[in-house]
Amino acid sequence: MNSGKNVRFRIHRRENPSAPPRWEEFEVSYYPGMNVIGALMEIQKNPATADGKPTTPPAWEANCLEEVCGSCTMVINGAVRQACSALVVNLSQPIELRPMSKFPNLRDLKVDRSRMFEGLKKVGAWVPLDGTHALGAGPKVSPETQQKAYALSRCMTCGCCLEACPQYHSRSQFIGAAAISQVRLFNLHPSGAMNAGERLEALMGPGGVSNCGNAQNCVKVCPKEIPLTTSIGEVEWQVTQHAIKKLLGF
Amino acid sequence: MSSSFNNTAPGFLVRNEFWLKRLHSLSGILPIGAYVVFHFFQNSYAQHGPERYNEVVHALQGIPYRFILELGVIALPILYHALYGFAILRWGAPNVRAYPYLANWRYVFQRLTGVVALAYIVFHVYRTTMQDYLYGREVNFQLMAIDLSQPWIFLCYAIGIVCVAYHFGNGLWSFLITWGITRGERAQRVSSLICLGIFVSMAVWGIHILTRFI
Repeated sequence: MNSGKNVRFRIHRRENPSAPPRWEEFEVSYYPGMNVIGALMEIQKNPATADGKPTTPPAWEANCLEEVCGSCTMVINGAVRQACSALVVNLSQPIELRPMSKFPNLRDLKVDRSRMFEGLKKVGAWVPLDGTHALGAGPKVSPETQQKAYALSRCMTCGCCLEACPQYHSRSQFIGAAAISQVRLFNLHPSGAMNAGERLEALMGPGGVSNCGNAQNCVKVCPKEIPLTTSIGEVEWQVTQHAIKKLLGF
Repeated sequence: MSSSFNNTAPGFLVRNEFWLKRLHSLSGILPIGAYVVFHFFQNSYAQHGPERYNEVVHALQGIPYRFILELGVIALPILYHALYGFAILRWGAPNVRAYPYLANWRYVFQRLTGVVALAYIVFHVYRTTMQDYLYGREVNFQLMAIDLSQPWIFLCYAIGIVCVAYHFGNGLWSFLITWGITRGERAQRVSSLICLGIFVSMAVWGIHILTRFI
């Protein structure tokens, strides 16, 4: 694609959470290497629709611009992904931008992903090491475990896995693949493992791991290539063991 | 910020969903899946002719505790599996149009074949066992032969058997993940091939049995 050529966008608009959604078309002048965020910034400079009508600039979220923060996640031409790593040259036009459908839409392309954070809080996705005294060095972690943990630690809570999941929606309480994978990560850590039971207990409750329907879209859409279905299988095994122990009372 | 969580007191189904789901998963294999295999095997006697088939059926009808076994090992597990299956159906929002991956299609087929298999089982039990319980009609080779000689019934049976075979094969794949037995990507891929083999074999076996009655 040549510089100066026009790129057409079709963007989902919504004034506020209770306003009805509508669509607007935009045209921006292409420059080499343009990504969807770049195009949105061009629109922001001159907020007018393709037929010249002045409008408000579409609202979106972005932060790192290098696919590690997850904040610019949206549905681009029907597929959930980050807008920063979506190069205009690779997309068919008009490029359709929608907010993720599984989270409350605040405005235009912005969503409220609090439910993901609530999920992480629910399972205790951290290593609790609070205290006023020095605890000394933690237990050693084998390189093999480090490798496994590294893959899982790349999760940026972007929400792609949940947007693509047929079991995750406003009528279900499912916690989703991201939080389940974080349980695997923190149960893998020697200090984090001290609270493994609490995390498994949370996943045995309402909206827990048993909500998974094995559609396995999560692992296909994960931009960080996290082995989410392996995490689900692994956590299912931990939960199985935990449940049997609980049932028999040991 | 308001979250999407429903903060009203969760109902029985939600509070106990872990155990209910695991029971649903287990019941599909034991006793239901095991019974389906046994049922196919026992009906394979059709290839030894009407007399031998009737002998086997007659012997089975005369087993001790027949009613309790039919109720406890077959009817109640299927009833539970079906009822909880409908609950699972209600909690799903299929999205194969946006995400047309193979596993996502299998997720849809698992639900679809479950519904068809249930309709077929109700129909099949009505045409066989219930004929005995309701009208005192003897269930034997001849009864099956008369039914299966009607093309529409044969077609219903064939569709029903293919759906049962799929639901069992794919359900076994899903069972292995649900209990955390197959975890890695490779293990799940290999088990999906084995389960595909089970689906195809069961479907072919079932239809072969049908053809032995006509």
